[in-house]
Amino acid sequence: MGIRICFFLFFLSGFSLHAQNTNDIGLIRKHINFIESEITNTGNKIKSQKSINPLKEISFVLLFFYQKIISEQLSAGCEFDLSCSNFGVRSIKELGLIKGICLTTDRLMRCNGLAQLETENYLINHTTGKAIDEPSMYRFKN
Amino acid sequence: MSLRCIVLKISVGIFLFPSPYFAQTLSFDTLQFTKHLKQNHLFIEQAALNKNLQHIHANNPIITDSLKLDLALIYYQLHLPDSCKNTLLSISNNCCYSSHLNQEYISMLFVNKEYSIVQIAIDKGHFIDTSYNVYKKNAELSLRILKRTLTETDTNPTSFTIPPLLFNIRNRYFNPPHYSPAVAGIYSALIPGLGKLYIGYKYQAITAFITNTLLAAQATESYLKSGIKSPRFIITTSVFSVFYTGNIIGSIVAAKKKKKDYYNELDHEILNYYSADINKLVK
Amino acid sequence: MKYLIIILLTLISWSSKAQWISDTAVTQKLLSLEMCFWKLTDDSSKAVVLLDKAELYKSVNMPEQALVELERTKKYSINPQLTLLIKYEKALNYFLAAKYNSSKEIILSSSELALIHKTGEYQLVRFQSLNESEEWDECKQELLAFCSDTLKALQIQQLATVYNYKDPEKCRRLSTIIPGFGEIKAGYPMKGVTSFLIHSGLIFFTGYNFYYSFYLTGAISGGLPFLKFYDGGKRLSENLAEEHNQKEKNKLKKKYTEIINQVIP
Repeated sequence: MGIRICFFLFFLSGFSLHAQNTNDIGLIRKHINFIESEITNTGNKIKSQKSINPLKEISFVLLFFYQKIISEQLSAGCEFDLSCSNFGVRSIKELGLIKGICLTTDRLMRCNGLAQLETENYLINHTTGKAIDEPSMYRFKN
Repeated sequence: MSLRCIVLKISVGIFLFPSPYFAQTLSFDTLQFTKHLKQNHLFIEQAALNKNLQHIHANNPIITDSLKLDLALIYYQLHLPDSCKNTLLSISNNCCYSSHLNQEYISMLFVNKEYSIVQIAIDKGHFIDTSYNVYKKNAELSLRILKRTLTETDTNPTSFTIPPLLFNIRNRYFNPPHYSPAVAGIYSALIPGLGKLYIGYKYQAITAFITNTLLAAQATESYLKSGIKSPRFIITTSVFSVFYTGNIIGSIVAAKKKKKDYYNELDHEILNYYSADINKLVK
Repeated sequence: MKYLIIILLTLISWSSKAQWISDTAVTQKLLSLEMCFWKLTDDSSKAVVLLDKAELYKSVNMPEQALVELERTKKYSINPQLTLLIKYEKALNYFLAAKYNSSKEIILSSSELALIHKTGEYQLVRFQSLNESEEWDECKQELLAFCSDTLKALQIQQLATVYNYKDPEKCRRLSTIIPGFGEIKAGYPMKGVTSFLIHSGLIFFTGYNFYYSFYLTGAISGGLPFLKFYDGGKRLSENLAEEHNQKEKNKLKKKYTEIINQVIP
């Protein structure tokens, strides 16, 4: 009985002992078939809010209205990977209303070709050619 | 157990036992074949050959470690960073490489940001080769910069040859910018954009100044023509104050970020230097 | 009973690891084919091995890699029959890699391909290459020549060869003259109306401010946004016209694809 169990385990384990851990063809296939998708700059879903701040909700509604209707009419491209409106949504969610609005206005003042000349090299996304700028970079207390 | 059962189990096992163990024989010149694969940029085949050779030489850790390094290089060329990192991490701490291979190993570790293992690899390599010793000192310098542990007394540039790029990075490391967030905030409060100019962002200063000036002019006009209680004045002043506060907070935050950005930029340049090193090896 | 359970469990473990094994088997097969290629001295045999490699890449849905292998055959002098085979494989892999123009060029340039590949697959690649590279006139004629069924021939006759094209440049010019009208012409009336309302609102706001001597407010809060929206509106009308054209092309391609799938069983 014991010998039978050993044989059975040996045959079963035969695969796992030498099967590739990394699926090379699968990885390469995924890489070759990778299509650069548009960065969907919808902000991260808020995990949970203990209390609803009406001013925050109003700002989200206004930004939503801007993104759906006004932004299309402006038809302008943002200099950053994460667009300014999405930066606004995320910064309000992550950093609070006041800091979020202030950082958004600062971002609006920086979102032009001239100011982009001063972006550090390491912050440039070499795939899209745009600058990386996220609200998480403005957290200084960990 | 009957003989029929034993035969059945053995035949099932052999049938289901995949081919890799038997695929690779050494009946041809492996080195020449590997060279042919490299010349034709056949990475998938190189990876498969490498894995077969690792199976065959599983009992010889020296050969296996060299093969793993080669495999990591293949994954690097295939732009598979996770596989590259995992392969590098699977190399044993007791690996013994030649000076050339050790250089390759250290460069790969830098590019994959495995700084803890870089130190071990640097310490292990003791070669008479003078060019390797220079490389070793430069790698130590780069590692200390990346870990922020470099001091002026640590490395004396006259004792070994530093490539111009690393020399420049070393000098810049010892001269980081110091911008006070409070000063930047006060400057921006006085004149919008001045805080940004203090930090060194002249174009951002110009755009901040122009935006705030236009909004202030609007608010002033509303005040002069409508008075303080008019809705026009309230709206224009609110908009101006939001942008004015944003300008101040932006300057404060930029001053805090500046040093971090400066060091990150140095790190980025060091990693580019080692990526270029690997690209030279690959060619 | 016990042995049945053992065999069943072994088969289950085998099938769950089948994906790993099949990919390991593919890479090993690629390696053994390359070994074979390296050992051979005869040009034709080398080309055949490369063709086998290309087939293997095609079977694992990597047509770009298959094309790389087929390009390697150029160095070797081979017989015309093999050349045609390689040409066909190239055309097929270009098609699978969505490079329809290249596929179409190869298929139309070699009429001999039709002689060796009078198969459904060849006809499908031919018709679909013409369809995807927007050669609908030629595609329609070839379908009519190929189809023997009168009912289907009637359906093919009714197919259009042109789509409802909107000139992006015209739409842009229209938006320059009257903001919002370019978008309406491009086939998006709601966006056009929104654009027109925004522009009118901003002009009204600027005019109102200028009338009541609030020149700075008028210029900054009215004039500057108006310029931005005006510029954006021109770009939007052009983009919408291109989007409309793309949608119409896709509709027509879909119709042709349906007919092709009916004609070729």
